[in-house]
Amino acid sequence: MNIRKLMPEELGEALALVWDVFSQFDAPDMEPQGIMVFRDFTQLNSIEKLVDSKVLTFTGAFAGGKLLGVLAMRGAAHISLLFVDPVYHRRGVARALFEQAKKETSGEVHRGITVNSSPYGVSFYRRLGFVPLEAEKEVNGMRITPMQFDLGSNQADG
Amino acid sequence: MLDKSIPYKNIIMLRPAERAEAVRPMEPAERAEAVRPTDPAERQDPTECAESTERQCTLPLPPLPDGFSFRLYVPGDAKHWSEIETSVLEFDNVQAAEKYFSQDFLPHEAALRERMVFVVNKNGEYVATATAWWNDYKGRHQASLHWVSVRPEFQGLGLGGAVVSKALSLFPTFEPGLDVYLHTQTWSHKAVRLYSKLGFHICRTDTLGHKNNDYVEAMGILKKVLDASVYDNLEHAAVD
Repeated sequence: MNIRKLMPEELGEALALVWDVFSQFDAPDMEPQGIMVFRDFTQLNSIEKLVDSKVLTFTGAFAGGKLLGVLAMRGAAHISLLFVDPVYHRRGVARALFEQAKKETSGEVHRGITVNSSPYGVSFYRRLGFVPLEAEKEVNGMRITPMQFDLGSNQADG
Repeated sequence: MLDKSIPYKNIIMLRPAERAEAVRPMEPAERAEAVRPTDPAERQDPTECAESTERQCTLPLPPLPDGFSFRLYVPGDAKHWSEIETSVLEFDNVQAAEKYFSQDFLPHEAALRERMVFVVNKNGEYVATATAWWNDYKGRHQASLHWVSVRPEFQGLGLGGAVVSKALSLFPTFEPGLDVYLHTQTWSHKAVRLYSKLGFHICRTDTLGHKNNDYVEAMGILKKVLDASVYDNLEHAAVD
């Protein structure tokens, strides 16, 4: 498996994978409003601009040239999207993507990597070592659990 | 000034760390240059750089208009802060603002001296403020741009952009590498435009501390009060 940054021309394929997996595993837990919010967020023209301005960074997992999974980091230490082709679930693809992201996030600067997990993702993130910061809540039609992976650095100063 | 003629809905915005690192304080020589009176035509739009998508774009602090200067908090400024916040209707009266200040800010007075910025006019009046703050909630630490206000009679002079840029320039020192969040609301739709020009993106689901994120309802309201092109830009730039 090859983990690398996606090229701009690969974003369309990545977002198609994201939408397929989301529709199958996450949308059933959401209100129609939440599905629309997610759909709007993952439009190619918007995402291209966010990637171009370095707000989002996309990493892909490949095998034999096939895209197996996608991770988008937002800013420095937040997971915006993490989706793996269901055929390759439970084979370490998402973990490999996360390990790469972790490597690129400085533990000296960041206390943790955060994610707002869908109900489906919570057990996966727990296995990676994330802990829920709050109970599940509904935000704009999405059921999310704010979670954080502790990078074990700075203690609170305030 | 808050526009209380429209419904109140929470808006959360985020400025990614990449951008935050790009703001730098002005060098003294540059500052001298910046205060030199210039032909309006040659005066640079202070937001021009922030709207660029270049990664290495640096955002010089926009010059303050003649007669205004920045000042950091010193003990006793609670009164000035409270008067500014009350003037923009954030509090019903100065006493309520002072009470908030005592409870939330005063326990961190050492940090205030480094992070709370004021704009003062030539008569020594405090006319604008912004604070490069932080928020710890349930184990998550976030950098936050806090309490941005310009007295109504001094709005329209570019002081808001100047004081926000000054506060943003402090984050790389005091909250290095962190994305900067802010909480605002539909009543401050003019400020939302300013924040967007300065590199902030509206969040669809993420939030700051305990605040609710009313993205869908807030966007419905913004769509009615903002120009279509401004609204479209905000929506397309929104993050998760």
